[in-house]
Amino acid sequence: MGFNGPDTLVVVVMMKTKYSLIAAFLLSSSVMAATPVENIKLMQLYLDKNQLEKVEDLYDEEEDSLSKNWMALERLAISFERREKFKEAIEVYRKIITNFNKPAHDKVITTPAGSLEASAYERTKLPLYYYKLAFLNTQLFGKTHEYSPDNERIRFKKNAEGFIALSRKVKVDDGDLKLLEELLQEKMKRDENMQYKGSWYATLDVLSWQDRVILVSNGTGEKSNLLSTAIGSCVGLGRKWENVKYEFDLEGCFAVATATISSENKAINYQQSSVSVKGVIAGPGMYFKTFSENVLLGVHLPVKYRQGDWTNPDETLYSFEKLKTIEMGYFLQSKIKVKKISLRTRIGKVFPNPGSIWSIGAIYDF
Amino acid sequence: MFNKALFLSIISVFSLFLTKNAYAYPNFIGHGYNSCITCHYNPFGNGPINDYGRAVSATAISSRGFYNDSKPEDLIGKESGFFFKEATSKHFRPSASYRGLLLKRNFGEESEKTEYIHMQADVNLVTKFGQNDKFITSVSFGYAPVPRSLQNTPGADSVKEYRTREHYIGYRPSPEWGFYAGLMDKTYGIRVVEHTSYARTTPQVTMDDQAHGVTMHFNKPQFEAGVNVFVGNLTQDESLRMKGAAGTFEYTLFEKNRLGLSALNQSNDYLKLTAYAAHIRSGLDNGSSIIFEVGKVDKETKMIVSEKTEYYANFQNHIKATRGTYILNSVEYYKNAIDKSYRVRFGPSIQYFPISKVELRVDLYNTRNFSQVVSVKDRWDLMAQIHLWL
Repeated sequence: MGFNGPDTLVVVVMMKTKYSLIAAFLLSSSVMAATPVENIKLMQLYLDKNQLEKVEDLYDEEEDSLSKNWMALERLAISFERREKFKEAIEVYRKIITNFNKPAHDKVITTPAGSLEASAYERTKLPLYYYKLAFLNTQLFGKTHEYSPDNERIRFKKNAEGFIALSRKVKVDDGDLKLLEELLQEKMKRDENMQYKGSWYATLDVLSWQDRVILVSNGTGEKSNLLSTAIGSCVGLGRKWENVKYEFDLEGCFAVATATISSENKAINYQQSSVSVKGVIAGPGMYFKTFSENVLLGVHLPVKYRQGDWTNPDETLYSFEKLKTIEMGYFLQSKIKVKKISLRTRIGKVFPNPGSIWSIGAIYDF
Repeated sequence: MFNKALFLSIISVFSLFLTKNAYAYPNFIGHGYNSCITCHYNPFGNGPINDYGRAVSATAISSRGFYNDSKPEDLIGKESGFFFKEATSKHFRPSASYRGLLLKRNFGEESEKTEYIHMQADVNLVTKFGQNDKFITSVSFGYAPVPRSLQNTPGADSVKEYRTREHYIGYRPSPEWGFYAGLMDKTYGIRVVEHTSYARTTPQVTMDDQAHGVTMHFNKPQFEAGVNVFVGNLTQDESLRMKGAAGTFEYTLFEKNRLGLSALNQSNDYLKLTAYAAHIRSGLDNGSSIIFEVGKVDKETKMIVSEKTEYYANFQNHIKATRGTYILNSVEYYKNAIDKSYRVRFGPSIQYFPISKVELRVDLYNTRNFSQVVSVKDRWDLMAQIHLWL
């Protein structure tokens, strides 16, 4: 065939490798208007050399003839598959089934699994195509994300499940199919884990903070700074919304504490201990599930209301400024989940108080 | 006389200000290790770790992050020996250990002070003979800094920077029974790694409070006990040697929980100290644990007759975040019964074992005084530690 012309002979002498020989053969053939068979061989050569774009280029150039040949379409589908153009690969495999295997395919679809004879499909490559379609749809489903259209996600999943069922009908290796089913299950679980779920929880913390208390002289208006250091417990309730990556919450707790208080300087002498301080701490918070789903780090933005029973030494001479105050601040917090109980630690600051606020406690998830 | 008494009293409690760590990890009950003797030669922890402890440290405690994924765990375990080699001798186990501390006092304040302290640089040799290694000796020697309270004073000359903190001989006729004699830590309370913990400083069982004596150890899965009779550290002046007895008992509850009781009575020419403690160590899921100890200490000074009672409590959770990384949170309480004042210390920490033989740790401590005499803003201290061992 192609070795008849003198130009071809020159080329053959220059070729060194096996592939080069085949390429030269096909090249010379193509010069003389290649047949579909020769083009299919060339497509296979490009696949072997992983020159995938050339497979598609050749198909585009010779589409009229190659689209009528299942072997060409099969190579085109493989090329798409390798380039992760899964949708295009699916389209080609469907075309192969529809155009070249329709009677057998119809028979497989319409016959119940128990009654289906191997003779109905054994002279076709339907088992391979079904598996490929199951695999490609599983891949596409696996690549969907929170912004993927719902109908697309549902379609890929249903198609994958449908072709797995067809593959099972035509006796594709069950181990391969189970692997695809596991991939689907894992993906569904991942999707489910990304959904936010709401739940209630109760908190019990040991809490300590410092308050700035200002004693004002009624006569002169002179202000003296007192510092109150409180420690107590805080019992509360919260609601959280969490997925596998984040947790958002809104909670509040009622704090009962005792405080010692004295002047920060020697200008006045004020000392008191075991002072009852009550308060409410509430606000939103969030956690990142940084290390794992059970070890969480995050922030909380508390609004703190507190009221202290500090004794006024002489109400005619002094008064307290802001015995009741509402303040805001922040907590850096960590939480470790152990089944339904979590251990929580928080460190932060409530402005404009000096010192820090911290808590350590337990959370019970309902 | 008063000055001498004061000076000697300072020396007798100088361990409060020393910064050498006696390292032990009672928190690893979270990994199912209820008893220290599983990993340590000393049945109550501290000191060198045995071959099994080294392998556990390398393959369960330390991260795999810096190892090739294909490197098998048993090879990592084999490299946990001295100088990364599997032990060839059946009888000798040398080791070395270093701890350094970067300390920032009053962290974040204008008065912040930064210093680096070499807390420990030890070499140790363990020898073991007989069936099931029933005869054992352990000798440690190394550097420890001069106590902070004595630095730049004439008293500094009285303290050797190079000294032994532990040496003993041991005999274990059976896996249950063990008898030890030498310089050892007293058997009291939970031997936490934080040597400045109130649970260690208040009853004076911290990093340089070891005493020469004998210890009996009994260990069964259901319970573990130890009794320690001691005559003080024989390298000290006789008048400073704390003589007495200590004992601890732990009962296993539901496999990974231990309830414990301890008692200690010790005295020298200046101080008589009696302490009692109750504790719980509890293993949680997946390598995490909590420990809690509460104690009462009665102190009676002899030169100037006075008595005082102190109370302490120590709660700590030790959470395994990932293999090699642990998050710790501590809350400590100290109260002197004489007045209404008390102190609370709170501290989050991160402990990271990047590879076998390396521990990095960062602690942030908040100390808060509940004093009715004078209120001061709370104080933060930052500590960054490195611990290397061979």
